[in-house]
Formats: sequence, structure tokens, C-alpha cells
Amino acid sequence: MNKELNQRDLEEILNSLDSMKRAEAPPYLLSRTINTWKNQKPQENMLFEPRLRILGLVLGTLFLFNSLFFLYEYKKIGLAGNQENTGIQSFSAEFGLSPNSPVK
Amino acid sequence: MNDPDFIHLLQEGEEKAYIQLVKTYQDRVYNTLLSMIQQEADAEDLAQEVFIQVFQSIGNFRGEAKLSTWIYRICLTKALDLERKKKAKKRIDFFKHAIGIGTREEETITDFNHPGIELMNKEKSSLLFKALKKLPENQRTAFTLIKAEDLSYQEVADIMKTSVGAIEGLMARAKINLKKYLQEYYHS
Repeated sequence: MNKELNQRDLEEILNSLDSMKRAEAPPYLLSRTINTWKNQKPQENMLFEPRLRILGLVLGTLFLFNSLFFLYEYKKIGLAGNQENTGIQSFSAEFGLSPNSPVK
Repeated sequence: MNDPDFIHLLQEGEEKAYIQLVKTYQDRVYNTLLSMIQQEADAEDLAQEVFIQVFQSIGNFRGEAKLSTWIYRICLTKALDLERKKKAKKRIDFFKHAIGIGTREEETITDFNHPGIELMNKEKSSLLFKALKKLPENQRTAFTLIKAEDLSYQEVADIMKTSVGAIEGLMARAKINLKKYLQEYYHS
């Protein structure tokens, strides 16, 4: 081809696709596509499973910590309450007061 | 192929219908992708992705457009996405190279020979494909669908969700730009 393109050359280049035939897909495309699709199908259903597992794990851990925290707090309150009662009882016994007497 | 029964079979997940769909459209899909991205390996991979996407989304197909129109749209989206990814990667590589944390891959522009081109037109079409790469996306899409897939202006308008007039405009601008790029290529 010349180094100068005239209008006719340009038109010829632009029209060079006019008589082209459609490229044929490789023969294995069909089997490859169907196999990939089949293999993807169960994975698709399991797509949410790992997410759900993680969510379950996070929620489970949170619940466990929450329960432990409440148990700990409850025990603390319970112990403090018991200690308070024991203190009042020993105080009233020492000074001969009845347990129901108001303590000032 | 636009038979509602056939589409219903696809939506039901009937394997025979899927096989029929791939058999019918594989050449159209592959040829469109090959003409757009100009690389056989990428076109093969993308063709497979297109069909998988079709299988996965067939449930959403409401039959407002022809099935072929819908498949062409998926094809073009995939092809243009790949091009954008490649361009983005190139930009990142350039930036990495500029700040000295990466190596820049040398861009090799190889001649693309479409297998459907007649021998006498190989050289000319190779030049045209090279120039096509420089066109804006919508001009390239319209030009490729009309020239490589031999679709009508109306069909391309349906695929690109625009009017026939707009496609005529895109084609006219594409030809002007292609002539400009070809002249530049010859003068350089």
C-alpha cells in the first residue's frame, strides 16, 4: 500500500468487513459452557451458606458473651446482696437488734 | 427462538433448552466478542461468561425485547467491561511504574486477523480493526454490530436502546473518525 491514502483507499479499508463471514465459535464452547453452568449450580445454592455460617458464628459468640456478662453481673449482684445480708445479721447480733430493726 | 414456550423452558432450567440456546447463539456471541475485543482467548472466555449470565438471568427476561437483542446486550456489556478493566489495569501499571513500585508491561499491538475475512481483505481489515480500537465505545459498538454482525440499523438501535437516527449519526461519526485515524497512521 502507498504511504498516502486517497479517498478510494480509505473507502476500501472501511468496506473491508462487508463481505466477512461470521467467526465460528470453537467446538468445545458448548460442552465447556454447559459443564461450567452445571458445576456452578450447586455452588450457587451454597453461595449464602458460608455467609450464614459466619453470621451464625458471630451471633452465637455475641450471645455467649452476653450470657456470660449477665451471669457475671447477676452473680456479682447476688453476692453483694448476700454479703450485705450477712453484714446486717452480724451487726444486729452483736448489738442485740432484731434483723428487721431499721439500721441508721 | 423468541417462542414463549422455549423461553419458559429456559426459565424452568431445562437443560435441553440451554443446549439449544448455546447452539443457536454461540457463533453470533463469539463473533461479536471477537470483533469487539480482537483476542481469541478472551473472546472464548467471555462467550462462556455471556451464556452463564444468560442462564442465570433468564428468569428476569420479560420478553420486552427479542431474545437475541437481550443476548447481544449482555455480550456488549461484557466486552466493554473487559476493555475498561484492561484500560484501568494499564493506568494503574503506569502509575505504579511512575512512582517506582512496579514494572510496566510493554504494550504490544498485534495485528488482528479475523477468521471470517477474505484473504484479499486481510491487510485492509487488519488496519481497520486497529483503527476501530481508537473509536469511542458507542461508535465502535454500532460499527462492529453493523459491519461484523451484519445487523440492521433498527436491530442495533434496539440493542443499544436508542433510535435509528442516533445509530446513523454514530456510524457517520465512526467513519469520519476511522478515516482520520487511518490517515494519521499512514502519515506517521
